Amino acid sequence: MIAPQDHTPTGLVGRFLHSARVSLFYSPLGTAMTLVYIVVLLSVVPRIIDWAFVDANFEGDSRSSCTGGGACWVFMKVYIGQLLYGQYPLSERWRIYVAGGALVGACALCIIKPHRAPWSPVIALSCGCVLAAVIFMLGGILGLRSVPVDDWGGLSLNFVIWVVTASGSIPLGIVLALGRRSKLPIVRLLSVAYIEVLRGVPLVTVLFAAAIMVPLFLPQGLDTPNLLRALISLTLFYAAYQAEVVRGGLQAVDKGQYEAAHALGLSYWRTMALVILPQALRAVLPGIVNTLIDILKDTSLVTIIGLADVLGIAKRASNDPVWLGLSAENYVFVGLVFFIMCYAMSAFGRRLEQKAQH
Amino acid sequence: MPLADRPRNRQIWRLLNDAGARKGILQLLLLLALTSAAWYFWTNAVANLTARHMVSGFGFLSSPAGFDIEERLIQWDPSDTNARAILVGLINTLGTTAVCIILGSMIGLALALMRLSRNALYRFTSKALIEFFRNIPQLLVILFIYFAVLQSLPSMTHSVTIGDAVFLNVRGLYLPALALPSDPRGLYEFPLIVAFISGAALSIGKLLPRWVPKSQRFRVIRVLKNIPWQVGTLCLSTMVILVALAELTPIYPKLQGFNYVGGMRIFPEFLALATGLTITGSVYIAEIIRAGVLSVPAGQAEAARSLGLTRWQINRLVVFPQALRVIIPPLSSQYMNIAKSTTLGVAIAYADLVQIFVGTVLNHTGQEIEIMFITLCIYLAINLFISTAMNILNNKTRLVER
Repeated sequence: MIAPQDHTPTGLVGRFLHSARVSLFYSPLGTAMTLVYIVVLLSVVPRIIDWAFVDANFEGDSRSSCTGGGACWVFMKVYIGQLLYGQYPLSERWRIYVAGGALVGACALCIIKPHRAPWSPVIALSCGCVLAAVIFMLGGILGLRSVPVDDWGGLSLNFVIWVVTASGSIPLGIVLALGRRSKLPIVRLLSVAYIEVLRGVPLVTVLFAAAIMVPLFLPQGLDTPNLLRALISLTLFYAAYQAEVVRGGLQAVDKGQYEAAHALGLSYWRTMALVILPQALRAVLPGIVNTLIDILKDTSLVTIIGLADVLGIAKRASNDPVWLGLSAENYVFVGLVFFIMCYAMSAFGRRLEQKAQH
Repeated sequence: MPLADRPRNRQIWRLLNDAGARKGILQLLLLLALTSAAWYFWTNAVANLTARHMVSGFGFLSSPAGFDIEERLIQWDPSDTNARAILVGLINTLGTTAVCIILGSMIGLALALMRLSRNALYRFTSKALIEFFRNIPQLLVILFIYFAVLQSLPSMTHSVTIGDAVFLNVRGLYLPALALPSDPRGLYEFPLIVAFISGAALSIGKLLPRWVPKSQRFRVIRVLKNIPWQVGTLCLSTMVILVALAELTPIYPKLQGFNYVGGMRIFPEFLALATGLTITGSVYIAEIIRAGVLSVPAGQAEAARSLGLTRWQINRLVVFPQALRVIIPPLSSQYMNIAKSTTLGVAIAYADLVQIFVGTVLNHTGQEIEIMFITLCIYLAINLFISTAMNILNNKTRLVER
């Protein structure tokens, strides 16, 4: 393990050879491992490249254009509209982008707010943006064509579910975390029971339970769209996880902070809102980001209760008789989309973590 | 304050200003709100159920199920009860969980060792695999394996084969099996299970202490070793295994018409689910193991080296036992995640607990509340079991402090 520092080469080629010796050919076993690896790599990678590019077909719009024997990207091209927007009407798809822009605006407003500026106009403006997003997605007023919720689908549906679940589960999670650490026995008991039960059961069963039970527990004739049931169950489910993350932060806040706030005569809610929660949430921001990544990945689970999210459409496409036998292309696309989004978020989370440590 | 001046109001006022009383009132109000909400939902449910002419209760559990379950590990007949259908599904769920936990831990360990390796290529590959599978949905992996890989396998008549004993085709994986001489219902299951458990206990008791350092020996194993009738168990289990093996003959799958007869069939649904969960679970396990190994201070390994221990001894005696303490708590929650994730099999119609019970039985009987209640309870019980088992293990490996 002792590096031969006395004769480390200095030239570019020399340094390269040196690092190769240290990290690839450090011992007979290491050399053998490297050689085995290279053999495996040479037998696998060309096949993947052949499938994805060399033998693949990119041009055309029907099954007959796929003759290469590799990937049939035409299949993905035909389905891309559905994969992104579902059954949302072709002429109205720009509205999804307006709605998305409005949501980004709402977030940006809260982030760029100057420190001394009052909160109320910012919150009002953000709420206006969110309302605008909802109006643009649903339509039906202001001369916009009405688009029923059942027509929503594809990646945009995943985003809708993600945004609603994320923004619903965080406040609910904070309330539950406070409840779990409350001194009131009944409040604490209820919070603990809620959190532990929801964390102990699989999300799929919660989704099924909501899909089956919500109509049962509501008055007769009151029909709820499937999407709403999925949103309710995902929000309630992830609130329990967010609660555990937030609880970690609450426990990390020094006891002196509580005592100091108490000594200043702050009430419970003011103590929490002004002293404890700002510190606690900052401490667990990476954990919250991780949960957001989990939520984004789990939005694909609504496929199981029959919603047409991006994975559900890819699954439907693999049963399409016209394109029988093809399915990998769409899954590869969906995988890459999820990977890019989640990797970007986790990189962001890691940066937050490093920032918090320094 | 004129309100408080009046004698009757003063008492209420004092009560409202009393911190203890206020807390009590608050909680009572919360309880009241929750109870009335529950009452509201319950009356709705009762009204809906009467409108559908449903009878609530658990009577449906003892009525015949009336459907077939192709994929099963225990005997099943359509005339069996719904309660046995739960058992069939539960055993499938637990079997998948066990397979995924074992394979996932092994692959996870391999990935972690690759990630910690001196070889840059292996380090990079492991990192790339871990990052990739951590950032895509589990369900996507399962669907990809099921639809894109297993569904594109050759048909029955053009199976991929290894030595005419193992066949892989679009209908599944066919393996040679040991055949039981006659109807096996319950007759051979019990002694085989007894033999397996006692054999496993013995092998753990005999083998483990040799390569686990003395201070780390699990108390359970010490107890096991001292049980005097262990020798008896050994004789008994050997006898049972010998008797069973003598009557068992290997049967190879053979193509008859359009189907394979004999041997064991592993369904593509199980293959897809188990492979998908193993892969996605193993990358998390790899990160857990890596974090555990890195948490051991470098000074420990250096001290061991200066004592003249070999690399293998250092890892086995110094690093790994200390890493285990950090590894076990997150590992147990990862195992629970795997158990919960087996429900994803519903997407490809794998016959797990949810598919059989919440899917088929619910369709047949319509007992929504009861079925959801039982299912949620079973999953809670599974989680409780895993966390208890891992807690025991955690207590055994914990640092003994003065």
